[in-house]
Amino acid sequence: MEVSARTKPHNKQLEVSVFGPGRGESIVVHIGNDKWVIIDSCYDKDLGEPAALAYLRSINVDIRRNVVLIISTHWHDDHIRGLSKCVEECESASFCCSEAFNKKSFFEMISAYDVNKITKSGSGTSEIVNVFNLLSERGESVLKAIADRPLYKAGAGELECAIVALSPSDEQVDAFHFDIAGIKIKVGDSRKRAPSCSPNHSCVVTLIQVGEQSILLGADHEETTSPNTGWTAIVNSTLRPKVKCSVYKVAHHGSENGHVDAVWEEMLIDQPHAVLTPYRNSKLPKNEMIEEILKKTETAYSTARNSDINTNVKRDKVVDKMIKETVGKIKTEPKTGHVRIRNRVDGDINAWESELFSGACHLRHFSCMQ
Amino acid sequence: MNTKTTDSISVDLDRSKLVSNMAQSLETIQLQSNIDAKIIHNNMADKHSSLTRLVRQFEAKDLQSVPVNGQKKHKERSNFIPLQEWEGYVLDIQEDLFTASLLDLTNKREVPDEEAEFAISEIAEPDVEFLSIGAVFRWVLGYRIKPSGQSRESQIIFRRMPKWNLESKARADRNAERLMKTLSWK
Repeated sequence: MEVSARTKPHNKQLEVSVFGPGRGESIVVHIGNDKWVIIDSCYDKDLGEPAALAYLRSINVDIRRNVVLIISTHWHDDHIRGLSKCVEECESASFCCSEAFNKKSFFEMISAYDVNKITKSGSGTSEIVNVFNLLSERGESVLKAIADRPLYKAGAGELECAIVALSPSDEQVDAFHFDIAGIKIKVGDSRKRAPSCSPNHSCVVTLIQVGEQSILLGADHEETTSPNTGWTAIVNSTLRPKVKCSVYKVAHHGSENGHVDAVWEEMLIDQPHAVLTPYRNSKLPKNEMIEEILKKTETAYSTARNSDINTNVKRDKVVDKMIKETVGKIKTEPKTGHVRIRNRVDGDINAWESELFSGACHLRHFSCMQ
Repeated sequence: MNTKTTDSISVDLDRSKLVSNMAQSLETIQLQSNIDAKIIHNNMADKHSSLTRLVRQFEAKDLQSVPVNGQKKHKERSNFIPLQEWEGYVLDIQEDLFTASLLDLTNKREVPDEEAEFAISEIAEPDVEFLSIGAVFRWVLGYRIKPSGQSRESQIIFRRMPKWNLESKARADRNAERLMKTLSWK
């Protein structure tokens, strides 16, 4: 963690910190008075722990007491690595995940793959199973996220704060269970690692309002062809708070499916602060989408300059030669970067200040993969 | 550097098994013929001689070896010295390529933090059927040492994972039910 990043926000200062890549992304939000929210988890391989925990520790946040909410927008190991560690350490936090998970077929699927602990790379579902086991041992309830449901409201005497889930819609929950049926194990099938489903119908989009400020966290939400799912369902909802957000965590790593003009026009202010995390597997974001985002706002950032880099593991020259002959190059995630933006709770909605750490950059400096 | 098993190990194995079976039959016949020599002497003697003839023919053929490309075939002994090993799992499959996440076992990495694209032609023929999203394999780079010399070799070996059976499915279902019962939602 860079020394310059180790400054704690004061009580009336909001903060949105976005970390990635590093097997997914993670967001940490200061909602005032030293109360914190964590959304998803990514593993910082250099620090050997979840990026969110490493950061909060570095700025002397009492993790056990002051993290009030952890939201998981996804279930696959690749996207939430370290989430169970976050739940374990943040003892006072409520845990929130998609309403779509609260069904027998989902539990049967994650348990079936989790039985398969015969590979070193993991089962694909063990992180979420570990989270549920922890909560079960503690006797804690899981907070269900479904479209337009309040997840958190600050108590009396605290800063006014409301956190609302904007997805999944009822139709998305049904679609998610249809997808899960497709990857459910059958007796007689060879065991393997759990594959992920696409699009991610269980995704939780979150709106955070503190004082004058509103923040939209787009998760991996994508547009679909149905008006009852995807971004269109959120934009058209009559129940969602009708506010325009000044900070936007760009949906789905800046993919074409995650980009919907109506979101920028109806849910965001003109020239909001936008942050994305690159994603190696799908080579995101692509050039054309970077241009689209930069047309919408000049203040757009990426947590890394590339979606991937050549591996930096030192190996024998003969091995390097054989790698070149067999696969060309081995790729790896770039160092986990950090975009931090802060503003006063009662500050002007355009007065957010951004800071870039550990390889994070302005979006116009991002180098797309060929 | 594709490595495919093109020799006829299975044929060799079948042949040696047959010879061994025949030899066992012969021993049985010899034993039986000692006990019941007076009663079935003629029959056994016939069987004995015909089986002996068969085994000798087979052994003679085996010793001659099966010619391959005009040469006498004999299996060259070889050793494989691994230099680097990963555990991988398949993320995506395209027409001629598959992408895999890699966990470096040689350098004892904790998480699978590398990724590569492999040509499907790199997979040995018997392993192609195991290629599917989520399938787990070992990728090993090393030297193949033979009396005739050494060569570099890349091996992709898909793990023959046990199948989900009724017992493992029932165990998973019990875990799921326990979690469902003990977790409350609000």
